[in-house]
Amino acid sequence: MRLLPGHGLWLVGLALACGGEPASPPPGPHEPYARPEYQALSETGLYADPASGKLAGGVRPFAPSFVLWSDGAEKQRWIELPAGAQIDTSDMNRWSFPIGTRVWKQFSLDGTALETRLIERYGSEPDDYWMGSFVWNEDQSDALFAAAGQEDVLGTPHDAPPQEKCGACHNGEPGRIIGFSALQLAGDVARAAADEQDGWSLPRLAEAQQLTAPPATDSQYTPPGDAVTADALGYLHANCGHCHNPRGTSWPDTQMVLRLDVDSGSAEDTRLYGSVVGKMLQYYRAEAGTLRVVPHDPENSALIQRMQVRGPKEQMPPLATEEVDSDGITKVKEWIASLPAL
Amino acid sequence: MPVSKLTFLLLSTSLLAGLACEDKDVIVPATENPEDGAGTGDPDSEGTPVDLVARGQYLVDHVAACPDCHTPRNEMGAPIPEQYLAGADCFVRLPNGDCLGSRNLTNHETGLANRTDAEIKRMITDGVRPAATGDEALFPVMPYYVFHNMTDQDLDAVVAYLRTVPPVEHAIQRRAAVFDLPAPAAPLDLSSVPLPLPDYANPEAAARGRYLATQAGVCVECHTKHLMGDPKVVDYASFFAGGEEFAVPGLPGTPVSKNLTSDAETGLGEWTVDDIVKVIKQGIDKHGDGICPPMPVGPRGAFGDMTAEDALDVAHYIKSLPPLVNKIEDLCALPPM
Repeated sequence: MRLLPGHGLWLVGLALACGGEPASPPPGPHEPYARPEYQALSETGLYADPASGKLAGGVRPFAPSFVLWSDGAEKQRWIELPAGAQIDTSDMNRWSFPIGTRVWKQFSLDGTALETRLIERYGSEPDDYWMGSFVWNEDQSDALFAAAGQEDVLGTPHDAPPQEKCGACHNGEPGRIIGFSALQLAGDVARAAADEQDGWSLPRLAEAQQLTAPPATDSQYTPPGDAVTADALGYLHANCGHCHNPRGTSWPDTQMVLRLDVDSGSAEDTRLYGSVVGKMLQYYRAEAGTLRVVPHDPENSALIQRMQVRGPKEQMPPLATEEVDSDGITKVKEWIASLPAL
Repeated sequence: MPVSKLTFLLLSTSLLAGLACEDKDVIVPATENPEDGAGTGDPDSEGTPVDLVARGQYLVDHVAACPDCHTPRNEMGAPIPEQYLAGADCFVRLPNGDCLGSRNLTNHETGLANRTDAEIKRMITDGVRPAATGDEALFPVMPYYVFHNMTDQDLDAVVAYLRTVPPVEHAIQRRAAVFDLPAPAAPLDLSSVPLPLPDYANPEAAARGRYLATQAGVCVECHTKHLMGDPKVVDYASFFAGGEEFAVPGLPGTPVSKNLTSDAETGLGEWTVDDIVKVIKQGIDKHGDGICPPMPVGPRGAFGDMTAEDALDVAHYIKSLPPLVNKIEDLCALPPM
């Protein structure tokens, strides 16, 4: 799917802004600062008033078009982009965020906040990111930093991961932030959420001159293919692509790409398609001859088999989930079933 | 699977010796810097290494001897230069064909290019690798339990150097299931590693040598008997008493690591410091015989280019070791050099 003409209005706005008063200040120097030593969520700048839960001024919500399965937890996401700074989008597939950027993701069940995670870029070195998890207290007044994580938060099945595990998923992204990307913010879901909550979507970011290189009008920013294909590829991108890409944790072991790039052409042209459809297993120990994806045969596709495992190390994803995502599996099964048989 | 000599079928690491302090942060550095600035590394006035990368290269190539295991070899057993540190697909091959590879350490995506410094250090010192199925305990053929006690500064240097290694695309196949471990081996307990004999004449040199032989280098790994299935890996009751067997293809006999302790009859008690340095630097023992592989000594071995100062320190540590009686049958002998 390509950007529809009607969705290009923000580019008009951008063009107008270029010729007149800038919509936001030009990028300024944002110097590295000391690695934060947070002990509580209330110290991180998320709230103007922690007691009431009122967000701080520069904090804006966003919603990715394709979400990571978190065992059914409700999730809210916010980002603060430092004033006067832009996201370096010279590589539209790998955004580099300005020093001072903070992004939060909050997990709740039945309206009760359980955990809030934070990624903050504090320096210019490749590893200068603070990543960690805050666990909410019983009275919901604040959340405390949990360096070692915490299992069964507030008596629920939800687990907060230890800080040392953050990199397992996020180090595969140079900017560490996974869900705030061109592909995730271009789709209908992201745009609708941004319009509703005055948050960020790709058009809104461009309009506000938050991107160093604005999106091109003829670029493809959403997953290709028909609805079934796009849904499945988007699901795999969001749930698997952060490890399964050439920068991801799994790459030395298995050269499988489950991450989508913008402008990747048709579904068959994507590296995702090329590295799974009809391709032999490389790392997973299974019966000889097993393929990652057997076209038209989801039940015999290792991809589906792995997604259905929970508990042993063979489960996929290996972290942060204890329940199978049956809806997600259905999406991927439908896509595999739609592929012509070998 | 327990650690056994089988796991060392193609292993060719090792080094000689050293002595020092109990705290890795109080290691005594060598007194002289080599000409290329890569030796023990005199700190500058700010307390930082003169050349971190050069120091790292020296440690990798001539102290820890990483290429011995991580550079694949040709049919003749010679390292393939253009695949320096690119990993060996089947570094250990069991009789049934099961393989354990050594990892690609180059700056390619199939190697370390996308690993963070912290991840690389965790592999080197804790034996934990981020794998496709989460954290994976490295098999202790990789002596991470020794490197656990490397100084932070040297660890920084090793990582800094590895970042400069030219990329080689080489994905290493998954190890056979028999090599899977539930947890990494325990770090070497430095308080158990022999200190120099109290009356040793040059305790400072022996202390420096102890660091090279048991923390930054791997003498202790090959010259101490391994225990089958023990999380400590090596026998704490027989440090440096030798007796570990190595099966090296192409050799007429089975090399056995020598007793390096100061026992006069079964160890090196009658050897001089210069005799030991000669082994390290020239690959020739005091009788004029060559040293069997996998000991990587002499001009063509990893330790042959150890600095003269470091080789001397290692020799002093070996000379200072308390005696342990352990007669080693010489099952491999090379002709006089």
